[in-house]
Amino acid sequence: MENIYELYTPEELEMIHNSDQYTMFYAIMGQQLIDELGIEGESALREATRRYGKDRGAYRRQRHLDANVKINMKNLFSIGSDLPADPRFHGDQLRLIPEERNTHTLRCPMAELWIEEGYRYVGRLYCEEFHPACYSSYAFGYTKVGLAKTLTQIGDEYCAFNIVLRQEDLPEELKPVCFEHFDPYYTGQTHSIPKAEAKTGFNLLTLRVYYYMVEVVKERFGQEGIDALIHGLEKAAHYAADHLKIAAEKMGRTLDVAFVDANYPLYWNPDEDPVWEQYNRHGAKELLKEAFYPILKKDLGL
Amino acid sequence: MNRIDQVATQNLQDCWSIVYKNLAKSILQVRGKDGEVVIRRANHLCGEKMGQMERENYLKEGKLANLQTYFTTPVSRCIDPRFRIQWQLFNEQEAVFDVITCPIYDYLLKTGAKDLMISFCEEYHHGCIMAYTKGVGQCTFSENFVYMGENSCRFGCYYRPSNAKAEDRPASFSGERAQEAPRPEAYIPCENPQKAFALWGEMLLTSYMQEITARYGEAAICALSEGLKAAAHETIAYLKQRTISLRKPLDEAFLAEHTFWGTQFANQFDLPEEVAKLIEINYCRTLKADLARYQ
Repeated sequence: MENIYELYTPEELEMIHNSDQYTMFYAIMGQQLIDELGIEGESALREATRRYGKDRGAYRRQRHLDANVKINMKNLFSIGSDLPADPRFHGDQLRLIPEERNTHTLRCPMAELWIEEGYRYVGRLYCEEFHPACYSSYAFGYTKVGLAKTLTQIGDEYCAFNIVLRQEDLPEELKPVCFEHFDPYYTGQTHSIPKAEAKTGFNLLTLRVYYYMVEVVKERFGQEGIDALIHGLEKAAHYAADHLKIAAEKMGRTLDVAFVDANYPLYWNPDEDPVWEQYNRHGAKELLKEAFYPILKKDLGL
Repeated sequence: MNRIDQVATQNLQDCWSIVYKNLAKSILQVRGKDGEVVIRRANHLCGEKMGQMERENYLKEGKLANLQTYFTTPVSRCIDPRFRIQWQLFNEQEAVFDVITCPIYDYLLKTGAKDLMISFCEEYHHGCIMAYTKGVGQCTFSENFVYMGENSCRFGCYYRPSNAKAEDRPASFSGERAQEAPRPEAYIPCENPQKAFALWGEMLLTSYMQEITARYGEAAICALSEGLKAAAHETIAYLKQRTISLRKPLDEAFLAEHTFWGTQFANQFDLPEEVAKLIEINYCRTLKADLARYQ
């Protein structure tokens, strides 16, 4: 494993810390659901991952529609990504046109971390459920998602994405929404859509993936499900604190609230996080306050 | 290399590819770009019919209807021995493999119709696996011969018990976690190749009839009549070459062995009369007339 502290700038390291914490938050919570709730827990995790993917796809679509951007594969993968750009990520773009996006992901820090930490199965599950749900949802359910080769799958050396939106699959009314050549009066994009930044970007992702886990678990299980979520949150808090301490030490920084806020995706004070205004249902925020933050604060000594 | 006794199966596969190619081409000729909608939907529907039938076959036989069964013991399908597959993962829940050679692609490429491959691959296999898994599996398709620089097709099929309804799991899975299984044989003998290809051809044709009628009305079936006639013409020309290689005469006996509908349609799957008539009039009679000309 490379020494990231020798290779990347402080700004890039903040991005990396947020990315890794998001990655492991998902893995720890997901594994806990499987360990405690068995196959029904896995089923819930898969459903939560799909709902999270659909939400992200719909969010991207709305941002594109608001900016008068056509809903197609070229734009999905080139305009205003909601995934902050981890500098460790490497890919090879083979084709990017409105109908198709073919890429090879040569290095994925999420896959690397899942495998290194022993969470390959949950990582595999994420790849299997998230991508089809997200890309399909973005294009009104008409995207075909080909992802038969992934770094989380045993034996694969890269991820091969073949994401296509065929105009012949679309109903007539959506063709001009998706492709410029069906819209003779198209006037172009009205404003630029900024790419996601480290803190705000990963905060939005972490909070939403957690929210959907709570939503599905509460729908399907009773107290047993809530207990599994609590145990997952406790483990995630310990992991977060341990790695924040290491990060501060390696960067030669003081481990204080400012450091945590810059290097961990969730806000130090969840009541200051505007994203909760939209997602504060099913007691998700309260559960986080009760089961996650006390351990995080205690472990960090803050 | 394949054996001499596998040649008939290979020819049956090519006859099937000829039918697919000509039905699709005819629709494109008559309906233009809009015809692609029918081609895709029909290919998907054909896959759904096959997937559904295989599921029912296994359940009837008391077998678990999972991916391992699907790829090792085809019942209604006959697998052309020219398919070369390199397996990566194979078990009840996962079938991940690279197709190194594909006779359907090879035929379409050889006859200048490789563009018809993508819509077949993207739709047919997806339809099969989705119907076979009652809508909860995945059939993903990452790399394709058709793309420049790629020399194999990568398929990833997944059927997870955790995505299946609890009541459906016992019919498909032996447990929650899957153990890697022995890879399927490179050549899976088929009891009755002709019957299997006839069934597949009829599934294809009925799917095209359903979809073209739904989009353009009954009169549009004329495009399929033309496609079947063109397929019969191409079949005879193609089989003539094959008889030369095999040093056999092109006659009724050869057609009876190397085509699946032959010169007289036997309605062995109880197709509706209008479908049987469509095949008999346009395909079988054309084949017979062309045979007379070649003799």
